[in-house]
Amino acid sequence: MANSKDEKAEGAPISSLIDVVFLLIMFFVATAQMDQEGFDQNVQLAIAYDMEKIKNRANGQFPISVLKEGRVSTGPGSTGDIAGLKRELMQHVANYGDEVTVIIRPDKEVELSVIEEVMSAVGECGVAKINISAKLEE
Amino acid sequence: MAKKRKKKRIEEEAEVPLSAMIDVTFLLLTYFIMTQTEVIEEAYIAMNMVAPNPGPPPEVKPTIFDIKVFENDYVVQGRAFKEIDSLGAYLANFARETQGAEITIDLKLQGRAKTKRLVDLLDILAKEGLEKKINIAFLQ
Repeated sequence: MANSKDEKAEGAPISSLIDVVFLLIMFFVATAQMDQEGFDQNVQLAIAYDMEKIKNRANGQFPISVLKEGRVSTGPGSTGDIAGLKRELMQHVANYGDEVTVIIRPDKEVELSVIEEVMSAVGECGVAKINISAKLEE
Repeated sequence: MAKKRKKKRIEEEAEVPLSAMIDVTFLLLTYFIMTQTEVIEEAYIAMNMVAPNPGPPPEVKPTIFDIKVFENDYVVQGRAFKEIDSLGAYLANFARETQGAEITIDLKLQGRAKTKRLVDLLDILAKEGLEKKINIAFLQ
């Protein structure tokens, strides 16, 4: 009988282990990039040191990632071409009106002629607020 | 005695299945560790597209500073710069001289130039406080 009690006392401290694991899970859930939709992580942004940091992502923001091969991405399900981009942006403008701000996220190796195409498409959709984005190094 | 044994058995059955919960928890933990990506801090600079039919000119004419971005160099007010550092020094000097004045930067971009060259220039403009009004157009 006494032997059984001793075994129980010497068991691994499961409850504290679970506490730690749950804390870790909460950390990863909190830091998971749920708001990264449209911010394609395959883009190698050029590095900037003094440009203004993007602090919060407002509803009206419309990120357009321009990948190295010239494809444009606005998030999962994006068609990758300018016609698809225009359709999606028109929809966004219909939802948010004047609040829409386009953030162009170009790969550093993309030629500016591609950016010209994207900017023309954005202009045709009636959006005047255009930002060019870069990776911030502090 | 039989009642006591039955009660004990019910208590044992009501225990939370800890081992299964730990398995699930570890799976969740593994998933989040595997899918964790580096948080990229992004910065931006605002710019205006040159309108095809601009409105009437403003009463007070701002100082317009013309910069062309080519594949291999930058041309500022007709002066060519191969290196970004020398352009940076030139723009720093210009910013000092025109401190407080309303400056409009007219950027003209060559289609073959890479985006990195544009971002390097925008970064210098931001550093020198010249990023307030940037117009952008593309060279044909």
